[in-house]
Amino acid sequence: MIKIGLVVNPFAGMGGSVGLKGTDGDLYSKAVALGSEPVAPGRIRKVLSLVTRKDLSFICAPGVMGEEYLKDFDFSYKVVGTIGDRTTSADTKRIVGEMVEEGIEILVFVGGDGTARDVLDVVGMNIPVIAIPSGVKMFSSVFTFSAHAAAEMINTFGSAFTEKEILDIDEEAFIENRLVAKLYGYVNVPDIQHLLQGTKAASDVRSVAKDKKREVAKYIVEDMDQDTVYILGPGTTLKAIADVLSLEKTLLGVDVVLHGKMVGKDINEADILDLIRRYKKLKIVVTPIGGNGFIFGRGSRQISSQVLGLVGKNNVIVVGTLDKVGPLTCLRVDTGDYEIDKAFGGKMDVVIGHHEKIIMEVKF
Amino acid sequence: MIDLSSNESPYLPSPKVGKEVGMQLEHLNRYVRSEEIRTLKKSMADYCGVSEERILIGPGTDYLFAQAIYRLGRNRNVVTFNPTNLHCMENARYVAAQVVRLQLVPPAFEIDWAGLGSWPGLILFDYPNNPTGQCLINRGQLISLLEGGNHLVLVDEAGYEYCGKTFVDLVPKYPHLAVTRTLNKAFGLAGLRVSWMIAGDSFLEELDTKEVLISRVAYAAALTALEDIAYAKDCAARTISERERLGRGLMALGLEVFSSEANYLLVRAKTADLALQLKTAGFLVEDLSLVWLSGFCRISVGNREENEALLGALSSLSCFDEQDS
Repeated sequence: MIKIGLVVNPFAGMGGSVGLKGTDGDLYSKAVALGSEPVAPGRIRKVLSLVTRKDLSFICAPGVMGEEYLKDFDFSYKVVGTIGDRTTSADTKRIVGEMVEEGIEILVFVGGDGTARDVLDVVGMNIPVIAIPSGVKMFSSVFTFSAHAAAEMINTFGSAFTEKEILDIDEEAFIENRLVAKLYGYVNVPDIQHLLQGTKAASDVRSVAKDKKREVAKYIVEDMDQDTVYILGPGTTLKAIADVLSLEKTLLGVDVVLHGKMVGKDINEADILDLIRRYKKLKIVVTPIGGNGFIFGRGSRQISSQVLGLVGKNNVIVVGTLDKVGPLTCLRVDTGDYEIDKAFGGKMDVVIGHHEKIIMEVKF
Repeated sequence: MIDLSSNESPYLPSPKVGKEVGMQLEHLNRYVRSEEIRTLKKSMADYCGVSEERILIGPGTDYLFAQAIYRLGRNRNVVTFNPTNLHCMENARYVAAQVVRLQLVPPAFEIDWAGLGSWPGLILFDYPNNPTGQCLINRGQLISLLEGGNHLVLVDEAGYEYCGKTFVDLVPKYPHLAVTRTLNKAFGLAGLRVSWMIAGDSFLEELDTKEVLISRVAYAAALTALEDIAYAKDCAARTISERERLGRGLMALGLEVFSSEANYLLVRAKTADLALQLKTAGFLVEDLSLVWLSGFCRISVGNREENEALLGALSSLSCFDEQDS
């Protein structure tokens, strides 16, 4: 039997119907006072009703965080952890931690971006997840698009997984009255893309995402110039470049490679400006955020408008895999400086394989 | 399961084909002779209105495209759309200077043909395009491509019988142009895979071969099918009529339906799980959500009964809610 974790944020999504931006902190009480009804229980019940797989043994959170829904179905399950009357983010983290100790192979969770961040903090990329959307804030690409899709993932997952982003509101930008999403990290989700294609698929996306990422990375490394400083942005494709070079990369940070060696880790804007002053040749390598296509202005604030103004569009290399870039209508930039955004507008190549690129429009 | 995912004809080939194939069973110990291939080439050439010397026969369009990539793609940029149904693009990565994909973006799916650059290209596209169902290049743009640079252009006209538009007449004038046609669609021979290329001189020089690449059964079926063009035209007309009817039905159900000149429809649902829900209901359609844009599906036009069944199933699905609960 496969041990599968289940945790539900029972209050996720309650803010939406009453015009709130979430149910974090005091917003929950406000949502209840405004007459909001829970959304998550209906979502998870729908998913469970579509699960046909028989080799699953659930490890679930107690009461409204899991057990309450499973007991209505014919699954075997074990409850871990305890909760009080009002469940919190800390409950999610603690109970998921206990599930990990129980040896779960995959975790199903129901919630929004906040719940996703809690899960990320505990499982990272070590245990794959299936994320069922129920929240108000839904910036993360990790979420399945419906109950049917979540059930399909549960029914079919095997050993193929692909990384997806966890995003949440950028608190710094929120203080400045801008509602934008920030990249917080990556988790693994089942790769079901190949299961859904017919015999005459209108796409030749066939390779496993992990292999394509390595292919892109090898191509970039082969093409690296010895005298050029390479600023590597955040993301797993960029990490794959460091892996090819046998270097350790910070997943969310901006790192620097020169002569095939890591010469700067998790550097800030001032560090990059200093490098620009010291070296004649410098290139920035970035990957778009899945789902929204941002290459600048979301994932890495260190690569500021000033940095981009000095480096220029021609010295920016965008990398990605077709399964990530193909679902985008465009790339996006939002650096806060309109002139810089405009300079990066128009067509841009994205390296998606060995001698392989896709031409995308950059919008600002 | 009703399969509306593969752009096949829902109709059997001409009854004459079945009879001829049956007769060939007594000759399965014999290779197809080169004079028989000449006869088939003549028949294909007459159908397209070109000289038979320009005809190259292959076991399916993918084969012809793959050969073109191997022989002509070296040191060229091999260019196509994303998404594409050309599975031979994987081969291009081993020979091409670069594989270049042009992202198709709704609602107009406009292609910046002029922006392809000066590096010699082998430009591959389908006309009408799969999955949009639209003809994404006009005659003037194609001529500019052929006259403006050192590009080779290979056009897949698998859907010719449904759209009635062709660039075949340009082939004798432009050596860098080739067009493929097939019997796999309106002629109903997908199970035998018979396609051919009308090759411009540059393609002809590299790809002409004396090799016989199709089986005796495929040869006999192809020749007989081409003797009954009226039957294929009637099948295509029925599909076109069904396409329009199905399109109206899908729109009435709240789906966005893009105009199509092919034997399939590109649709967009409010949520991305239309294909999944249809699969549960016993219908297979091409789900483009995970490989291209969210909510997009390509639905092959079936026969009247299949289309009716699909519309009936759709009307009882929850995929039209903003978010199922």
